[in-house]
Amino acid sequence: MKFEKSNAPYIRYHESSRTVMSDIIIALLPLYIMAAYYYGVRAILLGAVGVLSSVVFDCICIKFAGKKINPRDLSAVVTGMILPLMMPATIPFITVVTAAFVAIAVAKHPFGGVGNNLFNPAATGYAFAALCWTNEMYTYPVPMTHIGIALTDTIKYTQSPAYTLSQSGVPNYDFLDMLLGNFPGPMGATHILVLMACMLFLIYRKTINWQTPVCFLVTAAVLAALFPRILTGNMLQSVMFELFSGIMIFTSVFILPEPVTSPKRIVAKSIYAAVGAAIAMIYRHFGGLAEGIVFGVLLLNALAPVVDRMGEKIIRTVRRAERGKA
Amino acid sequence: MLGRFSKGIILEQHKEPALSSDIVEFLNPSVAKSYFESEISFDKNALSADDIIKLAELADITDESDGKKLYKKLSAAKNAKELTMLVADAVDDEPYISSQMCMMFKKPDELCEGIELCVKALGISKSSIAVYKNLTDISEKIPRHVNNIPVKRVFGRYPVQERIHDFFEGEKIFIVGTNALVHLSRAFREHRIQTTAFITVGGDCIHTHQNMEVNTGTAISAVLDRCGLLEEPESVVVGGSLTGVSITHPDETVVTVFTDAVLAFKKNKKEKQYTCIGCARCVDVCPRNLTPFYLYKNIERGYTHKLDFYDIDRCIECGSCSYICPSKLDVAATIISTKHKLLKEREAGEDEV
Repeated sequence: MKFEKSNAPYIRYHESSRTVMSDIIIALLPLYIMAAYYYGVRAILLGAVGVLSSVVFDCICIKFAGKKINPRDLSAVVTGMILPLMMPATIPFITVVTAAFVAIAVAKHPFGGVGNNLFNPAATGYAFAALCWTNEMYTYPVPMTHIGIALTDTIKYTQSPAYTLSQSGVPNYDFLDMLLGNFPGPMGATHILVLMACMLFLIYRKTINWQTPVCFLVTAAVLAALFPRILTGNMLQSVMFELFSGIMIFTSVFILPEPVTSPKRIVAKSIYAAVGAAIAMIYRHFGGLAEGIVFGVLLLNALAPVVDRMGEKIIRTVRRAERGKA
Repeated sequence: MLGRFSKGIILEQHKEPALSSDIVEFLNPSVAKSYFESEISFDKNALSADDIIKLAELADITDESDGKKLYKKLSAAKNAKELTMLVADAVDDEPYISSQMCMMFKKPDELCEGIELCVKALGISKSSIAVYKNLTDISEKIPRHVNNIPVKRVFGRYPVQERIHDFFEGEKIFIVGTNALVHLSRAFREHRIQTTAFITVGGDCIHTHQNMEVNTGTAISAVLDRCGLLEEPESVVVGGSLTGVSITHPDETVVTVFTDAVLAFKKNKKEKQYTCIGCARCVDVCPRNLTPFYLYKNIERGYTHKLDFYDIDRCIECGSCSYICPSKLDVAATIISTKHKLLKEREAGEDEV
């Protein structure tokens, strides 16, 4: 008898990278159902185009790099699913394809592919689309209106609460409507209740830490209460509209805790999320676009290693102090 | 202290059916029992502390929990004279292994006699048996007392062995493995030399999971044949399923006094390596609060000078990071081998100076 040498441990946890990615896919599916309910079949079609184009670009890039395609790697599917959800349901298909191209071929593979990208691919793709198709990205259809696949019919457009806020106005929407997503905005980011459920699911599955979204949202809420953009109305209203409008909650669940670009330690993650919320709120106050969180996230991605080093230093100091006591 | 119980990993223990079945003797009759000649009395009350240490020396007992000779440990501890409590280590927090725990159920009299002798040798009054608490799949109930000796149930996620001191706050404890205590009792009663080791045979390739008493020097392949293989295993492991060493030649590898388990695992066909996605689960589970992610990345890139910043020398080699890794990378093995290399280099450097 002779056996191969192998390394300890000999038992492994049953979850794999595929499980992590498929968890996120499962969490994204209800958002597509909600989008289809409010905006029709076009929402599903946008998702399909997003997924298909990212997977195709991903395969091409892997081939170019001379690597082997791993069919169990679902990260491109996740990127492709996240992208259209941050856009309005009336976005042209070409925007989604371009955003997917930028996400995969500019933000992901030049840095070394899965696990090595410095910037969040979906955020990069969105930022590119926001700069190139500003009009299409920031005019939203009224929910429950019929949107044809080819956009030939006349569609009722309206301003999103995020835009109204940036003009120092008070959006006129009911609290319940906002929870259910019955207000104009990105097709997957307005369904607050569903997003909260997705967040709980991902936290329960330990795919994301609770610290990241909670720190992000709490910091944003505190800043919204202290520096309200709406001149009339109370603090609570300001907090509600700031958190519920745009892609604030969507970012805190699907963009910010993305494993590759976020810091590793819990301490670092909390600091990272809090700083991210501060940048996002500053951008909302002084930025040119109605929705600038994504630019804040990209800025933050570059800081992640620094924040992580800071977290490591904190832990080292605590450790040395504890040892000194003992 | 913070996060003491949230760090680490939750494991399925797989202790049954080995724990509830009897300890099987698998002994070579010609060398099974050898005895030493001595004047030391068989009367417990007539024994002095030095006699007991002498017994441990003559019987050549090795403590399986740390690999030291029992008489050396005892005489060193006796001179230190600060100890207040003796703890019999029956923790066994790694899956499949129950060779230390089973003593409590199968050989309680010998175990308690061993504890009694050790307590007498050290001149202390308190003693306790430490057992892992997070066992859901065992059919026997862990008792509160074994022959009047209290059983302390240590809890928390794997690894607990390193945290055993936390459960005896305010006490200066002296840890001895249960197997060594049983051998000590035999040395006293029969003047018998330690020629056997208690091992658990298990793993998903083994037909009969059981605890065995095996002569040291028995080939691993003989042990495997005795218990029966269900299929050709991919790896045969000596030691725990998370920290053990895989062996290549079971015919030429033998059971030693340190061996606590022989495990055989089949190939996991579903298991495939991915690239690291930086999910930081290894950071979440590390019981020493290190960042295995950065350790691994820096080793991969060859930046060994950065490893000190990430406190590589504080790693306790528990293997939790590899266990949890969703990309199935060899995180722990890489970190451990680099750590040993660095320590060796450092020692060599010190010698030159």
